[in-house]
Amino acid sequence: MKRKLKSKILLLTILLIIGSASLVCGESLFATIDYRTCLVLHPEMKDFDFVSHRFTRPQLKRNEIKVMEAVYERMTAQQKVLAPKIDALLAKQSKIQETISKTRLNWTLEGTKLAQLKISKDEIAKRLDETQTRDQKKLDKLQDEFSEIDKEIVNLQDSIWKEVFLSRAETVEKLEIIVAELDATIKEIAGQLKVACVIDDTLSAPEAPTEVQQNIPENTPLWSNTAYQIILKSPLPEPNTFTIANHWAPSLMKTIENLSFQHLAHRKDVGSLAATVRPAKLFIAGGQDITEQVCRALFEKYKFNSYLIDSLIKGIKMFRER
Amino acid sequence: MLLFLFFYLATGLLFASEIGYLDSRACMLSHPAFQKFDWETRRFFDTISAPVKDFAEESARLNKLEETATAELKGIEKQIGKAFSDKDGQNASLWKSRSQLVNEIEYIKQRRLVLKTLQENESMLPDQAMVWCTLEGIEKDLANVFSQIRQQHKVDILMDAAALTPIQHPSEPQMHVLCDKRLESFLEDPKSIESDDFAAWLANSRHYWQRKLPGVCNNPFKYGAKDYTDAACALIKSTSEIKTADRGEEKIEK
Repeated sequence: MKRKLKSKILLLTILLIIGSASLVCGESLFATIDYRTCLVLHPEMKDFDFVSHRFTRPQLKRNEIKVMEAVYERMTAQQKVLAPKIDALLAKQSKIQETISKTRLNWTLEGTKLAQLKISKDEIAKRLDETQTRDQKKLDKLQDEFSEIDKEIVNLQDSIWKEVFLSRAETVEKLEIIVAELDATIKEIAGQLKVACVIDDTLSAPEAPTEVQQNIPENTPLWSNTAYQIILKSPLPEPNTFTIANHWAPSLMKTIENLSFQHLAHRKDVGSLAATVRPAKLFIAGGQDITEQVCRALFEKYKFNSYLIDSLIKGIKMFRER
Repeated sequence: MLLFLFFYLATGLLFASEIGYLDSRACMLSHPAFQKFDWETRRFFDTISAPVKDFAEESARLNKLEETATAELKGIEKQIGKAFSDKDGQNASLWKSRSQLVNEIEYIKQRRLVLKTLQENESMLPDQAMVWCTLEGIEKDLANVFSQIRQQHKVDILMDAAALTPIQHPSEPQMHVLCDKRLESFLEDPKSIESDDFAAWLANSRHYWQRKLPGVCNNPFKYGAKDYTDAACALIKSTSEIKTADRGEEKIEK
């Protein structure tokens, strides 16, 4: 009997330990991330040049003035040689663009002409359709030509800038590597924190231009408008009191219903205005944000100075809480 | 003891949930009825809300449709009577055809009523309220497909990407802010990271890359959730078309 009781207690204790351990170690289901911030602060992004839309070559000695002067001289010389070729290609492109626009304009003119004839709407639509089908092949061909010239121009620019910048193809390749590395880091951090799913909750929040943010008057009524005030002040009778007002209560309720409908139709405007004051977060409580952890992991991987990492994390925090 | 065992298993199962997502807007546009939505008049073609081109022509078309559908329905009902002794599968397909024909006849009746009202009001475009009926039908089909996806793929949590994806293009980045200072210069001077310049650079940079890499940036699910949009769209494409207004679900927008 005693042995049986002992084994029962032992089993109960084991199950209790396992049960509570599974709770402690249990995955929290969701985490949020500001993916774009992680992407733009990826250490490799420091070499991206927003003027040429390409990465600079990492081995470039930008601090050595003499070396850079020689590079720029060679670039200018190359540019001079290739400039007439690029200009000719650009001229060809603008001619193609002109032909495309003329063909499209012709469709409108054709439509106007047909509308003046005494024929049915179906016939007009049929004739217009025939013209458009006939021209479409020509337009497709022109569009292909335009893209081919675009590629030629890019190749020529690549050959001019090759000493300083990566080519467009190399830039795309590098971006793919950066994105893959960021995704791998997110996966790693999610694994460490036992998170099942990571969501970017910064995308659907509308962002107002800076000038709108700066021009919101302090007394802007964000959460109320005239319709809402009318609804709240409606002279409805008290429930369970038998007065004459009970007779018109149903019709007043119907009016309130319609007013609410109209009021809610404007909720988006209020929402976008509110978003400029307070950015929305997917989880009010219970969720966790891994933006800082992911950025920190990337900075540490690229052996950033720990003081620099702290400054960057502080900067991210300030940016996200502003 | 059993309670503890149940507790342990329940927590284990809870945290091993399968998470999936789909884009309900893409699914909606894949619906056969939505393929016949005219963006200009904001009505569905081939439904009771479709605009009328020619009353006489439309009436003749409806008469012809009714004649064919009634004849076919009689034939099907005769076959149903005979088929009871045969296999169940045959019965099911006959009943399906019958219900399609009944719907067709219902559509003809409702469309005639719409035409009558339009002729009285001397209008060619049925009320916007008619569109709501079709949308309700689409919504019902979507809900059905979503529950099928959950069952077929054993998904515990199915999320809607449309609720999290951006509703508008990010604003144009201010290139002078981006070209003025590089990330490298901020990294070389950690104090500058706390300045407004850094916040402005970061905000514009985020917009720049969102425009440059929309596929990468605009997907809100970064890890752990599986995309079922294609599977749902494929299922919705095979859904039958909605021509009539479901009277039980009729909604009128005022």
